[in-house]
Amino acid sequence: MHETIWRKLFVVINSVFMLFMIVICLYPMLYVVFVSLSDSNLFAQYTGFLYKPLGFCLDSYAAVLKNPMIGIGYLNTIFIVVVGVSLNIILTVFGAYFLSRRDIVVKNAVMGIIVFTMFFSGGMIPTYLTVQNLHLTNTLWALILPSAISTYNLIIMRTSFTALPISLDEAATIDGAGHFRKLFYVILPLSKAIVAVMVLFYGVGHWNSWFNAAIYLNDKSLYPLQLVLREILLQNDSQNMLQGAGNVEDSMKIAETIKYAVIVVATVPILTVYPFLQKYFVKGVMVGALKG
Amino acid sequence: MKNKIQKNTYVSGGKGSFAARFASDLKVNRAAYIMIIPVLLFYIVFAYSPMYGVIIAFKDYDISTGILGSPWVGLANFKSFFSSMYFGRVLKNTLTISLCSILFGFPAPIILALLLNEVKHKWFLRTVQTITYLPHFISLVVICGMIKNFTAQDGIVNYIVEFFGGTRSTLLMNANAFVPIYIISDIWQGVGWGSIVYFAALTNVDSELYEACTLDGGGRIRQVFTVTLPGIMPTIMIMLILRLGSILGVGYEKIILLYNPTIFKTADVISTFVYRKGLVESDFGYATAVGLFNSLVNVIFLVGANLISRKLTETSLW
Amino acid sequence: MMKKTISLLMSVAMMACVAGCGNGQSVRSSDTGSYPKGTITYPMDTDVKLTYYVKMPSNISTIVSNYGETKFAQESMKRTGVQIEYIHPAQGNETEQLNLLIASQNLPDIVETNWLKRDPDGSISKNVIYKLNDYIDDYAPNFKAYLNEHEDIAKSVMTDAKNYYVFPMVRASEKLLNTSGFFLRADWLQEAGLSAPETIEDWDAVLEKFKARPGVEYPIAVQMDSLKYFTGAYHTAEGFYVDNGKVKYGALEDGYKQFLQKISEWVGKGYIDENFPIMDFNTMNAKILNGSAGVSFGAGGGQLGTFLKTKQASEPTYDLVPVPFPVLKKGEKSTYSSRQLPYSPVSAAAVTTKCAQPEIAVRYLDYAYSEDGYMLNNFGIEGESYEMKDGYPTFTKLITDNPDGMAMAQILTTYARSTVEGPFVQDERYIEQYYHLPRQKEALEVWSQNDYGSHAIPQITLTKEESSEFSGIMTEINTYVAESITNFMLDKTPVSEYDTFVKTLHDMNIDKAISIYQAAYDRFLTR
Repeated sequence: MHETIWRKLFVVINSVFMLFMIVICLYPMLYVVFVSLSDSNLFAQYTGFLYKPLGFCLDSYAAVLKNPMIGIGYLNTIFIVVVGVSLNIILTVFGAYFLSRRDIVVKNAVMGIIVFTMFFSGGMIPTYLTVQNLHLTNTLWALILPSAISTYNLIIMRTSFTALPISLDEAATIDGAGHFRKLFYVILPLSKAIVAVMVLFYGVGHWNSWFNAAIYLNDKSLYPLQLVLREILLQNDSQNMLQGAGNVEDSMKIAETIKYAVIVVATVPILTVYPFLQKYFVKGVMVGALKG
Repeated sequence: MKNKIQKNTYVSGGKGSFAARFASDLKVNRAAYIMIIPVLLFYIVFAYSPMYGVIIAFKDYDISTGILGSPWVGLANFKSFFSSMYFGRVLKNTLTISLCSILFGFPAPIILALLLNEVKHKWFLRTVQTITYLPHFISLVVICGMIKNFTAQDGIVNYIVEFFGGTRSTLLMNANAFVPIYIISDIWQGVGWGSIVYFAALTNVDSELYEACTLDGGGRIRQVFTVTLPGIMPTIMIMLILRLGSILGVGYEKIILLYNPTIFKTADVISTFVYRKGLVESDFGYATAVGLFNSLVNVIFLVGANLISRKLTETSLW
Repeated sequence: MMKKTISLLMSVAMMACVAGCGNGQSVRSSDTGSYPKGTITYPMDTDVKLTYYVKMPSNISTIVSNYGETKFAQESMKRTGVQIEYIHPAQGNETEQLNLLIASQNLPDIVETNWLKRDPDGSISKNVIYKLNDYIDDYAPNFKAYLNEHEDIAKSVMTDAKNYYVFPMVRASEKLLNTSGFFLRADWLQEAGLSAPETIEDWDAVLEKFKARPGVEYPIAVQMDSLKYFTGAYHTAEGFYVDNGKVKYGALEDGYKQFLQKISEWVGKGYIDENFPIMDFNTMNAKILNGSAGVSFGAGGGQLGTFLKTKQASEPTYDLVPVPFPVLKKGEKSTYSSRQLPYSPVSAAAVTTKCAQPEIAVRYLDYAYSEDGYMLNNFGIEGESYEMKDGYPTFTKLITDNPDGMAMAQILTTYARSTVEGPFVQDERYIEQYYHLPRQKEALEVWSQNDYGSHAIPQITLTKEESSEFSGIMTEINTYVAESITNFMLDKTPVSEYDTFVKTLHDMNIDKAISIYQAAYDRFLTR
């Protein structure tokens, strides 16, 4: 009796807290949308709380979307994300499976080799030379292969595999399953949530990255979206105008707001991915698997 | 208890030399070794083959001469970092920011995930999840622009300060306010995104355990502490170990956008200091040496944390 | 004066061309080994194709995807007969990309970048780029003639070892060097019955009046970086400068203390927004536009001109007047300003050792210094982008009032190089037309009235050892100075503690840094 009152109170407080989270986390995105639709000059002078666009001006969107490179950028990015994430997932799953096996004698040594690379790397120049020797420069593979595994993600996935009940593995062994069979028919079906997380982490990583593209690509037709957007931003950077080179009057109008329009253009597609992945974050899958 | 070490059923209990055990393991677990081959290949090609670049830290590196051709300078690059009059200050600031961020920033996504776990309406749950992860996608330039706006003399934060009897001031020119601003904005931007990992881990907690707990007459709170938390503890511990392994990794991007000379006292960290030196002259040797120092400290923390975690929770990287 | 000389030269050259065309020597790349030296007529008869690394001008990056598509590049290729394949680094990552190209020994034939920052003598001795002295003698008669006529420029573009390493950009007029400065609300001055301020005393009077105006929060809206120009009134400068052949460091001088005193007084009186250390570029511009401030600092094109154009459309009385850099007594000239040096090293072209036929590359680059090339680089194509009116190259409507609505700078960048940095001699008649408002023309005049030209440190070069010692000292000093002077200006540290500050600077080895610069400066003088 007593318990349910507290329970109800908790549900109310928790709901209020969640509403609070919605407000403070939704606000920045709304703010971005508001600013992207605002008049740049009005915005620059404004310091208070923004709850609607200041004026209304679509120039910054026009400046972004009229760029012929946007379409190419989207296509390249989609290719990189699809191919890149597929490779990421395959390698990460293999690596995580190996490292989660308690019976493998060199498991810790391999872990050591992998963790070591989180701290020590050759830096930009030797890495570039490696990529160049493989003749990957100026191809999209230069953006996919060198980032085929994130050690951080690999460790997270291994942790998730390790947390699965050992009894499942024992049962599969008794049934005579080999490693590939165990991985694909026992472990992966129970790891949908973590695979979804990995798809999200790797996908967003590829989606947002631009630095490798900036150093490995010369051919503009290979530019991913983020690099195209970066060029648009630099072109409209008001500080550039100091050199008398900028497209002065036009830039002035959208100097501030274009940064925000770029965020909207760049993030809306990737944001829509998450709700699709959410369905894998469901509890109770395990019970069914265990009984079946 | 369910994390019991599995007895190796194939290899006779640790007898024989390592080579013999490895050979037998290769035979028995051949399929697993096949899986790891492409993974190791990746690490060999893209991580280990360029690793000779680390020696730049001990060289007076000149791009046109190449890494191997540049003259050795011993520890000169390290000395020039350690002997800087700002070394103490930037190290202290880096550690302060990092420790505060672990203390306050690390638990935040866990708490959010646990609270989300208690939300029963599916649509509400999904809405909250989707919205809390939005700020992660806003670029730092814009986030910092908002921070500047909110902490300005007539910004929204100052309304709150005034409400509680304080006086309005430009908070980004107040050295004492920098660390809180940095940490709070970090949590705000990262809590939803950070909770995703824990939320995925929660799906792995066996529902039968919940039922068992309820049958035992355990309340919700007891359930959280006896079932939920232990269920995601391995994930928590691994995330904590990894976090401690980047204790000196406070990046310069956000700070460069927020700081100014009036708050160097608390805001200048290792990476920003090196960044400013880079503006004077692009000195690869120096930057690599500082990077190596950071890595060594980070490794010490990681190994230490791993050791403690293995003793206390049986969870560890190796 | 300058203008006349150039036009005269031009007409002589044009006659020479008319007379000389057809019977000059021509270059054939198939004549293995020996290329004709001395003067030639373009186009060359060659099938050599050169690769050319250059930053894509950001204002046309959305119009063309490669610089080779511009009218300018196509015309240069046609006129010189050399095919150029342009290679562009990703914008904002020029330094990294060039580092990687050098490290991977994959350099294009010609590379435009800031070679002065890349140890020119070292780059020559390590076989990254060619030493150009002999090539210039034999294959760059136009550039050689220019260097012979301009000894000061020649000194700047050579190294201490008297090596030539690039084809430089030269800004051949004071007007091109002084394109930013202070400006004030002219209409407010008029209402207050004041004239444009020259001395610090004038400034005090103006600021007092401005401060009293309704709606004005702080009269001066500038970023921290611009306050340093007030040092010129106190016979010193920011950072290193030369005074009668002696290198000095501004913050050590007595005048600097007075400067800090003045700024902190103005901050105290509310003349300067105390938030200047975090003042945003766009916020600053907004303040001068909306009238909450009446004084700002900026470029004649990007700021002064834009503000007048945007604002006067809706508010005809709005007016901004450019003022000279402030001084202490009437008739003096400020010892510090934003004046740039005539040789701009930012985007100078070097020929790399990967180039198999450096003679052709040198010939190609030399064209920009010929009379025809000079006109092409500055004004574009005669009859298309400019017309000669009374001997004055006047931009056509295509440029000044583009039918497709492109901004002048943008369309001009596709026809000429005058809007961006590059290896050629820049003509002031470009900026005279680019700055077409009377206030902008006035700005070029008044901002030029300063004496920083005789105080600025020229393009000195440090040896590798000097350079690493210097950067070690200065990284710390820059941090310390930035922190300290901000505190002085905001009166968080009283100016009475200035002597302690100076003493600390000495302890931090500023004198060593000065002597390194002094030695480099002395070497410069003996070039």
